[in-house]
Amino acid sequence: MPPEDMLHPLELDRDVFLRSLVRHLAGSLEEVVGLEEASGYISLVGQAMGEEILAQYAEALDTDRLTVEQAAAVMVDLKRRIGGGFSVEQLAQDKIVLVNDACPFGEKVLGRESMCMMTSNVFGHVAAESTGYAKVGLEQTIARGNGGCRVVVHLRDDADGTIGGREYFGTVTSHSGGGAQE
Amino acid sequence: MRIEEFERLAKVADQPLLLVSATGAIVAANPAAARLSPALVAGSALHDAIADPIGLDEQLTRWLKLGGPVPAHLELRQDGQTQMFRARVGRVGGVEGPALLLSIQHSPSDHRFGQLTDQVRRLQQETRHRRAAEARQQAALAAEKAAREQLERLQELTSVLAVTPTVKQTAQALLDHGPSAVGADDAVVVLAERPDRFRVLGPAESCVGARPGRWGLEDLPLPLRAALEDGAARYFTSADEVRAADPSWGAGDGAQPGTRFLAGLLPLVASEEHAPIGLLGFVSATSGLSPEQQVMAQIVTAQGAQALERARLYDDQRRAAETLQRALLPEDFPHTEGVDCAVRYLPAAEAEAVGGDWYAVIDLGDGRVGLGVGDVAGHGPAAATAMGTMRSALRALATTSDSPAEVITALNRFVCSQLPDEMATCTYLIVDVHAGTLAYANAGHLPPLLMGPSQQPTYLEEVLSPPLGVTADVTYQGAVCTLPARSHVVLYTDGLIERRDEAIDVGLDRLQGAARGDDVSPTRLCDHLLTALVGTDSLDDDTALLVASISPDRDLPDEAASNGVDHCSAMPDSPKSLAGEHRDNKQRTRRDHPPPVARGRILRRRPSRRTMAFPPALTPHA
Repeated sequence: MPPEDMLHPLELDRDVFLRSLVRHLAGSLEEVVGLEEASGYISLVGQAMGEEILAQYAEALDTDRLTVEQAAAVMVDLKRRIGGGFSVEQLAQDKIVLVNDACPFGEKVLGRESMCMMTSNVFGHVAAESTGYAKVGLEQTIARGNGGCRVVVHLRDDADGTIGGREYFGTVTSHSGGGAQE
Repeated sequence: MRIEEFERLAKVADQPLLLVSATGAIVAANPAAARLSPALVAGSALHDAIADPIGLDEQLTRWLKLGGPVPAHLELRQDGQTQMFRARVGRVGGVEGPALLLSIQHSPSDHRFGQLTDQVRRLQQETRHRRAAEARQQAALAAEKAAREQLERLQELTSVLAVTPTVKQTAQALLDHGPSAVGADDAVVVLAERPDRFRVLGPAESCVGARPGRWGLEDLPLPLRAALEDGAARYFTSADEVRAADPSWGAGDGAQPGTRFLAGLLPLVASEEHAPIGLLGFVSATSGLSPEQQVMAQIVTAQGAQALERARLYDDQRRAAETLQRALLPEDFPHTEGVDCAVRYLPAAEAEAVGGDWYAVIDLGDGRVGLGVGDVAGHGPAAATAMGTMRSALRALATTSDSPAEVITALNRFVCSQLPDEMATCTYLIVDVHAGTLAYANAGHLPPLLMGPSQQPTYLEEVLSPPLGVTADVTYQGAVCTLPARSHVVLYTDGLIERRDEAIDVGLDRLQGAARGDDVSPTRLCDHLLTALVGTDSLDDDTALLVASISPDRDLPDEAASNGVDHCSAMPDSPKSLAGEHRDNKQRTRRDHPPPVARGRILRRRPSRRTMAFPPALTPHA
């Protein structure tokens, strides 16, 4: 057995292990089916996780539908809980802008853009369930090599579809317009 | 998206495209979709085309929440089977609310995952088919092996039954080999000794509720009685079912507690016109007899019935032959002063071997006694009858001449004329107590053994003649030797010395070696010789043994008393090996080919004895 003090410096714990696992899963998926297809699969995972997380916050806040402010607070809180460094840069009834300087997946997200679909889907789901519609644009991401992330959550559908982003719809849809493509 | 717009764009696409409402209604579909499945047409419900309609509602809800396209899978029903297809789903705006645009892959094999899945599925299917085929092959091989083994066991039983002569042996063969031929664990035999009396045999007697021994019909348990009366087989699947067949059976009847029970009870029917001659029961330790086992049980029972019937006839024939022979061969003899006689007759172990041996002691008066021993060719009641006739003829002819050769010559003519189909060997001696002589003649029989006091026993083989019944134109010759006091003359048939796969000389030497005892009684000498030569062996052939002892106190001439048995002379011809001749005679007799009267050369029994040419014409003893 090697001495314990030689093993101690290793950065390996449960959290590191799980993040590494997710990263490798996403990486393998991208390599096998391509980035677009992998993003689609991770969207489905993100959608399921968004539903689950939102249900917990709704219960904690004792409400069926979050306000825009509550939705923004939830996004920041949940990211911080999992090791992210998100904060609200701008909050309005038609848009929430969040910035991030620390990815919950750490440096392991680098080059794995499909993992950003997790953020897009969770934020999009939380917002869409709050306002009925959301379009999430990932303007900057650490995964793409940016220094930080800048995420814009649009809460109003632009009729001409000039705003980029991925659309999400709430269960009680007040919006019946067509989905725009990113 | 407007329907017209979709149809215009989708019409030229090779990929199946669907426009589906939030409720799952197919709003529009392109021709490629219809080619993939007839259910994928506008106006139909997507629920009707897929394998899991209930899960589709949840899927639709989820897909509608996502603006961007996501991968999906659709399990479509096609020709009674289901097939998984990959698809992409994206939400689009419709005239009447949000809708979904589904793009379906043509075939699952178009995708690497699909190819892999198909390959795995095909491999699994192949493996399943191969395993199923191997299992079927193994089952077929096992069934063939089991059938072959069962057939071999049946053949073994058939072989055994073919050579078991008696009823007892046949029943034992059924008990020993019947269960394995049927695949049962044990068996029991119930035999009819008389129409109203039965004997229960076998290690599983308790399974028929009847203890070992003899039973009256009315005393037998109900199922046994019923099977004997109606001749129908009965099968049982459990011990409880067996006991239920007869309310009088107790817990220990009909089944041995906990394990074995009577699984089949089959009547032994030898003839359709007659009642069963018994029952054959099969015992199982596990379950009842399968239909295949029941068929095998019927075959075994039918064979057993035939074998038992044959054995019954055999036993009857044997008893008849023995009865006849014993009636014709009395054990009491006329007493002649100075000569004591004793006789033993042992029937052969096999019934068909009984019947041909005989002996005779004839008081000729004036201190003379005639001793005869013979063997009629063949066995059974016919041979016994011929033996009786021949023996009576000898007794009558013995009074007509003092010459054994003349008596044998006359007897041969009688056999040739009155018993033309018979052939026999015979030796006839006349002991003259007063003269101290022994005159004898031999018609192809084994040589008598003379045991003089304190001397090596000697075979009387100075004369040679062919068997009786070969041809009437034969004149037999005789010989005379002196007979000392306290000597014994031993006459016998071949059963005493002959053994299978053994030269007859070996048996003759064995008799010569066993012949000991100067002063023993003829009775004790008989018993001694039988013990030494036969023992407890079962006899292949009948055995007749006659010992005549000359009393030690009789009045002998001085010359005879001093010369002993060495003073033997042929009258008038030369001696030859009677043992070798006897062997040849038996061989000829068994082949049923009459031998030539004269032969060129005689087999030697031992080097010290002379080999001689058979005389071209046998002359009468003067």
